[in-house]
Amino acid sequence: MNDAGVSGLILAALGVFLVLHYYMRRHMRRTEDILAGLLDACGYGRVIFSSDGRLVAANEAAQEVFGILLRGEVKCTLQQFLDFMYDHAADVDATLRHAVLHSLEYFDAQGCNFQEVVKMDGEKLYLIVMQKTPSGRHTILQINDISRQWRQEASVHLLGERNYQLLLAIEASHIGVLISTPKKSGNPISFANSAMAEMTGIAKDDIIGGFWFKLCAVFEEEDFSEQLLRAFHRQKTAEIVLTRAGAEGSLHWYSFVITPVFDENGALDLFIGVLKDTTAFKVREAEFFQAQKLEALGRLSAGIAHDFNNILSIIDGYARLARRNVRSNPADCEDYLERVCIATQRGAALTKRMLTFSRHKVVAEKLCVLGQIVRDQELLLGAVLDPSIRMFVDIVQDDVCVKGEPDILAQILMNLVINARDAIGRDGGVISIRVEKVDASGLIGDAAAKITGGPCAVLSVMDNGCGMEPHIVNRIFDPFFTTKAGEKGTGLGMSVVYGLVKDLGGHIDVQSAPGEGTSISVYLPLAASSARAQNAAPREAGAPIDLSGFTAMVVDDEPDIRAVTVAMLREAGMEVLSAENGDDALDRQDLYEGRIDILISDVLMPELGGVKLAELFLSLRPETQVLFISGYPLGEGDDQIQIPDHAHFLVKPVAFDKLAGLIMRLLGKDGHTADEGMDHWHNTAGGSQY
Amino acid sequence: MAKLSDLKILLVDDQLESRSLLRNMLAELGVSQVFDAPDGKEALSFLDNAFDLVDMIICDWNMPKMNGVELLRQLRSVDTETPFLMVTGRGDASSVAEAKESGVNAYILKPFSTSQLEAKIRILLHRMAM
Repeated sequence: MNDAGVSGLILAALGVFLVLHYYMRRHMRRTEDILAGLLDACGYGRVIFSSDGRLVAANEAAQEVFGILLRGEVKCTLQQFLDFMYDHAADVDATLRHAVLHSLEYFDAQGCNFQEVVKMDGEKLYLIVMQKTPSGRHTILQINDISRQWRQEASVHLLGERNYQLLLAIEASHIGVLISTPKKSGNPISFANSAMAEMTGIAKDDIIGGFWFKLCAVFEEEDFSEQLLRAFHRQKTAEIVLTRAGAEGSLHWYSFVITPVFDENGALDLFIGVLKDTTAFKVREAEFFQAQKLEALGRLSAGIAHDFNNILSIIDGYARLARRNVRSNPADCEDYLERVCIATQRGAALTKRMLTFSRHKVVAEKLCVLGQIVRDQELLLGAVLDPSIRMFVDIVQDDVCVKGEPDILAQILMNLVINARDAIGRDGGVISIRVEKVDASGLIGDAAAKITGGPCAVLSVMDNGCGMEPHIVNRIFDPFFTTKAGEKGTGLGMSVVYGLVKDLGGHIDVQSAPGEGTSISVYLPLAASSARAQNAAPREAGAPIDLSGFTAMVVDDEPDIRAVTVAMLREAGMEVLSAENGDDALDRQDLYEGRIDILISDVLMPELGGVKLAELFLSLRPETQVLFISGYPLGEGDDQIQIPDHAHFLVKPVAFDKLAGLIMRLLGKDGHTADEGMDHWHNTAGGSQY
Repeated sequence: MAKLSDLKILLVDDQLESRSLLRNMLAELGVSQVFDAPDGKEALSFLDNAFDLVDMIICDWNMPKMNGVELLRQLRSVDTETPFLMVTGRGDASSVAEAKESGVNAYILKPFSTSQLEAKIRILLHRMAM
């Protein structure tokens, strides 16, 4: 072959090579395009590295996420890519990571030799899975946006965890919880906590799957099942109060609240029962009531102590007067001592009222002439007033009668006058007391509302003292409210007055202005006047008391009281045996051979009480009359004491006239039999006593 | 004073019904420790052996073998303290005088109520305590 032939051949071969190269290049470009297109079309980000770690390709999705790494002039290596991933690795809970990985369908755990979750800007989370191609020449990283799945899984996971925490809380609770499913036949119980099991004494496993009515046998209430049915039927929250005998025999109280739960369509879905032990609350409630009662009792006692001190000051005043005048003016002395006696009786009435506090009701049965009460009190009131205070009494009508206790009306008057006195102070002033009948229809405001229709009785006490601001007027009947300094006032006088007037069915009206004095009016229902008005009844007078020829046995464990009673009876001419207690009395009567006409005994004594003594005494001496004397008025004191019918009863302190008069009647000395014209003491509240 | 429920009483009566009646009355009063004997001789031999067991003796007057007064006399020769309640149907003055002379502490006339019995026992207990 010649040179030209050779060079032509070479040129031809070169041409073929160039053509082939061109086509091959075109083909390769098309393959690359197809590969890139495939990578983009798969929806995931994909990055391919060669076996020596150089970046081969990255699709658009990958570039969007890791643009800084993949789009730069200097392409990153596999190692740089992995370092970046580690830097951005998201710190996620292992169980949650696992749950997310498995929620991705494409994930092939077999072929995966690396996976990492990375967190990029905008809180986006990506799962990156690294795999080698089967030939091992390339490394493919698949980038998957798992932000959405992540959030879903996280909330599901969180809900599961919270449910578990709630369950722990319910289990830890001391309140019993029960859930039932009314959609199922018989409304079976699907859940019960440990507290429920403990409170009902039924094992949790026995409650769950069972029915509500299993619980009914546990509690005392026979209508529990009925109440349950009613609650289910009404589909409204219902509370059932239950009781159950505890292990020590004590009663436990429970509150069972049943609440229906409805689904989103409004259909009944669940019933939730909540059982609470309310025993402690009940106990506290009872203690609270007791404390309130004690507080009120204390308040009343203090109020009475206040009144009592007033009376003591009267007694003290007259006793001093009597002592001063005992030689020079004996006639006056007798009058002073009489007033001491009257004040003593008022003190006795006060203590009686304190002891009858539990009833705290004034027995408004006596007819009292209001004007007479004021006149009776006039002298006593004078004793508590300073000489610088002048007192005027104006009885407009003489026949103003009300129903009530004279002592209580006197107490009201005394408190009003003392209040007026304290308002006047040292500079002196005037107190006016007025009794009148007014037409209730002429009253305005509150007073008219309380006293309805017709005329009513009014007792007014007016002073020209300092007066009161309106805000003080509003509070004067509050217990313990006082404007008096230091120990001068207890703040109880007016609150006691208020209570007493209310008990009498009356009303109090206060008119006052600073510097203009105060007028307090007590409105009381008017009673028809009658000759039987009792506060005006004269003391028993007439025939001298003579009980000679009779024998009495006096039994009292208080030596002083025993001695006074014995002295009184001896003065009346009686033969008197005395004993310090019931057994002593039995012994002494056994040794006494004569007749014993009357047994006069205290009720409350140690060892053998008065009532039992009377029973034993009468079994030996049936002819003896029995008279009880006690510091406790009828129905008070020891409730255990059963008082026999046909027993007669006096309240301490006993006035001589009263005692002697009663004995005379009991022994038929006054020409009447004992039962005539007097009541027996029956053991019922409101029975008669003397 | 000792409580009724703590009392230990010896009943002496030849009649079974009388003894059971008294037992019932005493039970009503809360006295549960009651011993009994049908006559004076058995009572004395009981007291010989168990003197400390008895706080009070309730004894019928009329009994065969040894009557109440004779029992009391023999008892008082060795024991002057244990209270002795004589139960008797005879309320005449000479009988009462005889009983008193023999050192009886109290007596109770038949028929008697539980209250009367209690009163008498209480009187005896009261005297014991003094």
